[in-house]
Amino acid sequence: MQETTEENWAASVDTDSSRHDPLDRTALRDQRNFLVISAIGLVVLVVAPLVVSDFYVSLLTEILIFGLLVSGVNLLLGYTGLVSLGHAAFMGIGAYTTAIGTSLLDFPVWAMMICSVLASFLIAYGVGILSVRTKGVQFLLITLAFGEMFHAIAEKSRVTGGDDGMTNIPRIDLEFLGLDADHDRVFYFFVLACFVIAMAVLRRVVVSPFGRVLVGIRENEKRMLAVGYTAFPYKALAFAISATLGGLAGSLWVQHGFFVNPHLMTWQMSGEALLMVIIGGSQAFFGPLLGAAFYVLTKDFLSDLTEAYLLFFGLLFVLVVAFFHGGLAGFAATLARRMRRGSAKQEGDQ
Amino acid sequence: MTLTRKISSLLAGIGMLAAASGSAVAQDKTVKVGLLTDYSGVFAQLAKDIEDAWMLALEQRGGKVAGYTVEIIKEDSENNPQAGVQKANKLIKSDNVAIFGGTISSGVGIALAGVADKEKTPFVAGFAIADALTGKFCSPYVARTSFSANALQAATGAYWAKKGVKTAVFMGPDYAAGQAMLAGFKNGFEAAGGKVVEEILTPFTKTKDWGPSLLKAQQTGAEIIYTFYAGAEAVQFVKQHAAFGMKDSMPLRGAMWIYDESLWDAMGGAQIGGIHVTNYTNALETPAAKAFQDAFKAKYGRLPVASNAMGYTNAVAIFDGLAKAIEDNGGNLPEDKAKIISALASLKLDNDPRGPVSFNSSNNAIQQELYMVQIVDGPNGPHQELIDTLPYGEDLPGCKM
Amino acid sequence: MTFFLFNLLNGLQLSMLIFLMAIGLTVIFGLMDILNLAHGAFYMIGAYFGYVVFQATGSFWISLAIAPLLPLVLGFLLQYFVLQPLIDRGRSAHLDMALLTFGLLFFVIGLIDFIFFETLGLTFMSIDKPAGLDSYINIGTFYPSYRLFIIAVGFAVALLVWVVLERTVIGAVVRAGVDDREMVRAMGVNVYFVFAAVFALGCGLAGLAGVVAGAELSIDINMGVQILIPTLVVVVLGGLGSVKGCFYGAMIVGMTETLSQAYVPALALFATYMLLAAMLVFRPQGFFGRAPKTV
Repeated sequence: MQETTEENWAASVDTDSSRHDPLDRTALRDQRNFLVISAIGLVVLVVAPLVVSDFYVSLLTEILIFGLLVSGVNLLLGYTGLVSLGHAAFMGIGAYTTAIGTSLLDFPVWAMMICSVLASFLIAYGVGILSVRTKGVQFLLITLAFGEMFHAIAEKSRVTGGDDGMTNIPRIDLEFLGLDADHDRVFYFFVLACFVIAMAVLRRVVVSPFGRVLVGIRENEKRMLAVGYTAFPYKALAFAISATLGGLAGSLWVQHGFFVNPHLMTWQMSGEALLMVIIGGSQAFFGPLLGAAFYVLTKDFLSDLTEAYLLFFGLLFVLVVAFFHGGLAGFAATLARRMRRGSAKQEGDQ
Repeated sequence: MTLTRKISSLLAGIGMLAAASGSAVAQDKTVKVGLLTDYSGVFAQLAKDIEDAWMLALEQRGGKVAGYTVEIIKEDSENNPQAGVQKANKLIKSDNVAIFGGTISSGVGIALAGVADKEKTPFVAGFAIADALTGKFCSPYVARTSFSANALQAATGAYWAKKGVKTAVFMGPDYAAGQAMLAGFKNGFEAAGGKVVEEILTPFTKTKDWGPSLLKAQQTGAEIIYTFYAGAEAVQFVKQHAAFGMKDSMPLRGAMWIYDESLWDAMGGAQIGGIHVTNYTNALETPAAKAFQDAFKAKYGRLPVASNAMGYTNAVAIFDGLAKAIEDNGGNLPEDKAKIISALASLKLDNDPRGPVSFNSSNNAIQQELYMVQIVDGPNGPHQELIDTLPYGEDLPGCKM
Repeated sequence: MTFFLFNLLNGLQLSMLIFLMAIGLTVIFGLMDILNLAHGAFYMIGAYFGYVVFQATGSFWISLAIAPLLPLVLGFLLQYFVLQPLIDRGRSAHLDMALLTFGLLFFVIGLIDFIFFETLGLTFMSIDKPAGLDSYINIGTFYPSYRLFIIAVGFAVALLVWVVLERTVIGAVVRAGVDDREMVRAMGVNVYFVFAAVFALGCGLAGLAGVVAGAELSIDINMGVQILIPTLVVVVLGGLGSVKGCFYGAMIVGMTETLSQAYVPALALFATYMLLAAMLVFRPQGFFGRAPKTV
């Protein structure tokens, strides 16, 4: 994990170097890079839906929703070093909370979105307390176990249609703005707004002292212990925050597709989220979004050519883990650094 | 071809502003129809069966409906509602299909019914048997050409009770479809004087060993096991039932899924003697069934199976429904796409290989009768023999359109 | 009472099937720290190759003898030429290899789907049970003879693994390797070869389980993923790396699945996961595992 840290210009995780740098130059540069990338990314995300066809607007919406989920997964994987195979369950909890509240109980969508976020946070905190004492493979399996239990509950529940799920779930009411979220572009911008807010919060979290403790725990838990941090409550909180992003994603997902069913909560789905994080780059702040975009677009493209797209993703995943740990974000970073060095060298030559 | 389509749709999108992009003009005299079915996942074989039947029906119509050339766009819903919704969005928004159908999985079907209703684009399920599809989730944009779980199973339950079977154990997977089949069977069986003495629902796709459940069924001493399993679970269940020596003491009864022809090889002989209900069999000798078998054999060199017949009804209803809607509208595709579904639902498919098929007020297919068949071994390998016919059952109420 | 006894037999049968899978996984983990999530893929390779051999020869026994060799060889190649070099280049054995083999599982599933379904059009397959094992015997009730065969195979493999590990030089090296890898290396043993051999044997046993299951269950695209979860549960219950624990773990999981299905079907879906979660909460190292080496 160490060798990729230095590649990490887009992320704020290289706290090791910033700790040793009295002027905190790295942190400053990180902040500047983060702002530049965010600004460029935001412009792309705002302009894109205006120039592409309806179908691609719907794909973009999906990318943002998955982007939320996998950014959550990455808070655990990239910053805390914990691999969860149960995160889809929290997306499901968010999704079902919204679906049940709006469709069965007639509450307004905005209220249920808040409930979804709270429900996923609270339940995940409970699961987190039980899970984060383990790590590595054991953590992977305990999250799998809890995830599958929630999945089983969803499958068994008759009021929500069991395996068939529920449909005709309403989207948020934006009439006070004079807008109708049933239009896909309107809904896209609503999802984008949620995404930006969530990312801003997540950014606050990872650059806060709390975020640094997490990285410290990942790099060396014993040392953190020695300087007076007990890892366990931090990890549990990180777990809950990360699942909350999944919960928000779930709440948006039911509105996007107007339906929910337990397929959303399988461990294969958690596995796909993991795939997105690793392919996108687990150490970079926007790596997961990149991974989600790559995954959604490539899958759409491939499934037209062959039904055996798992073959491709499986292989790609293996190659990324084996040879290119930084994922797409790491690749982009290396490329950018080379270009910068190249131009700096040219200037020097003149 | 798909590649160029993708690139062209990308290009078409670029430069188009939000306001303008929604109203892409349909090309002259071409109507696009989406075949959205589960090409990957456990229903992969059924999906191919349905596609083959679609192509046959299209060929028989010379590739045209009411003067419009039909362009079929295939998409894979992966037996996954998430994927199904995404592909439906693509068919509706990127391809501008007039109608789409073919779907097998109930979960996908219900998800797509929601999309069809919201996007006001007709959807015609090809298999998806969930009662709710034309019940709670019924819509003027949704129709089904197969049947509901209750219509088939209640009829079958009543049949067995009337045949003098007093007690039955129900076994099936513990998920929505399994529960729907159980409820349907129980409705018919108990109303006609039978008693379901034990309901055994096993964890869906997670059960490997049916031994404990089979032993439990034995304990009840019931006359038959009525069952609903499909795919790999059907193979394992039928084999294990035979291995426990229960074929004579407590025979299996079920519907077409448990003894589906595509599973026969994997069942290794355990299927011989099996009796089940179906809505189509090659043992039918009606002119319509014969014509279908001959046409299918001429095109593909083999006899059709039940899922081919389901796909055929699906395609015929879609094509002829489209044709009727276009004709009713003076030779043009109607603006209001609900008219396509209402035209489809008014069809009387008297020459359907399954027997005469029509539609009820919730746009669900009704066929005249069902068929009880037995699998018999013969010189050319196992085949179905028609042993009886039974009246068709009714849908559960619940549709408020 | 007989109902209970026959369910014990059913439980034993399932336990042995899962044991065949889990034993390889746990020894590989104990020795190399690799959680091989692609283990389910080797199970599939065994079953599908077993089907091919069966179709070619018509014999269950030839299929049983030959089919496990393919996963065995592939396992050796994977460990010796791919995983070990990556570990030497600094990839963490623990996490990176779990992720990598997870991707490999998806890859193999995609590949098998492509070959068997997309190309050959085969969805559900099965290997016919051999004469003599394709019927049932009367022991109070009819009981399938093939199930008794599965139980026998399970015990035979357990015994064999125990003899090899406890009574042979290879076993001594492996046991020493589990306890202290550096020590074995220092003794001049070609550790990498031993690693690859053990990895290969584990994969071969998974392949064997695939053939055995191919006759009782069905051969289809989901089989690898389905067997993986109970296998992982067994390995965790028994303690990662513990052979004895693996045996008892398999018993517990097999019995839990069978008895919950027989007596409390409403819980059948949850039983295994509750067991797994409870174990990890209260005793993460498993029944027979050692406490974690670090912290």
